[in-house]
Amino acid sequence: MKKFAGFITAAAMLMLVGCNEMGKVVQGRVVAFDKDAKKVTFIEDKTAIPGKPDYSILPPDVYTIPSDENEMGPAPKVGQRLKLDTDKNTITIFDMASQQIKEIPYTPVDKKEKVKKDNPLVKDKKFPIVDKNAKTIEIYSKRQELLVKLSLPEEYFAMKDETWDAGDEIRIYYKEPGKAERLMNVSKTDIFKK
Amino acid sequence: MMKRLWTKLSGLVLMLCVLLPEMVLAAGEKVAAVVIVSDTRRLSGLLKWWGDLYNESHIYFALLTIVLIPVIGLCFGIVADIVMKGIGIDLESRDLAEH
Repeated sequence: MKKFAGFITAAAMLMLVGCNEMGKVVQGRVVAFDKDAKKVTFIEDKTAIPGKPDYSILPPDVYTIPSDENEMGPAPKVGQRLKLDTDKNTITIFDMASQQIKEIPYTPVDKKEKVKKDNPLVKDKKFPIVDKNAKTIEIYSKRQELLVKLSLPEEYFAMKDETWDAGDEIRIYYKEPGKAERLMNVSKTDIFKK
Repeated sequence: MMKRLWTKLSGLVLMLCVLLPEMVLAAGEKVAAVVIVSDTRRLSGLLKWWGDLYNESHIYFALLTIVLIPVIGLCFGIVADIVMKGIGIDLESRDLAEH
């Protein structure tokens, strides 16, 4: 009985220790990453529902990455594509110049569904494939398992290729807004990998 | 005297093998550390506290888990005792049934 009481006391003490001021969690898609300034910019996910993100919260969040490199996962990939809607034939991007979210209608050229990442159509290929002569962009969405070739008006081909790529999804634990205590690269972390 | 010294030395070597895996021949190539942040955005109550504790400190989380496992085991044991008593299984006395 004494041992049991000891366990309960230890648990209660740990709970009290854990009752320090806890931080918060924020998640979003990276649109910019300055490695030298140690700042990451991302559009926050509004829904917090796994598999159904809605990146629509403006202005973008800017966080300083953790000072301890052990508290940060792989460096995030940058991209401004936030949504690809093949039903409405629209692509939603974050426009770095205007700092606004833009929904751009496109003309579909080709669409392949249920394309997994190990499919020969996408394996070892670097997307997006921007063809400035044919005015087409080929996009692969791993989450949606979609391979889409679309056509856009000429004005959009002056933009950087990363505009049509999706940035990595990151999750940050913070206590003070704007300063990450820990940063997880959700896109590049496979917790089931052995 | 020598036996105690040998015991201490063996313990030290064993501890080094466990705590410093890179010194052991079997250690593989270095792998980047996996950084995980628990998603507590849609959680509330005890689950949120549990997730937040993981994010706050892996050590507190591990210690609390170590403490809670035997406590939960004991609770399950007590419940199992009550259920067995309820269905008529007597675990407190036994009759020798050897012939």
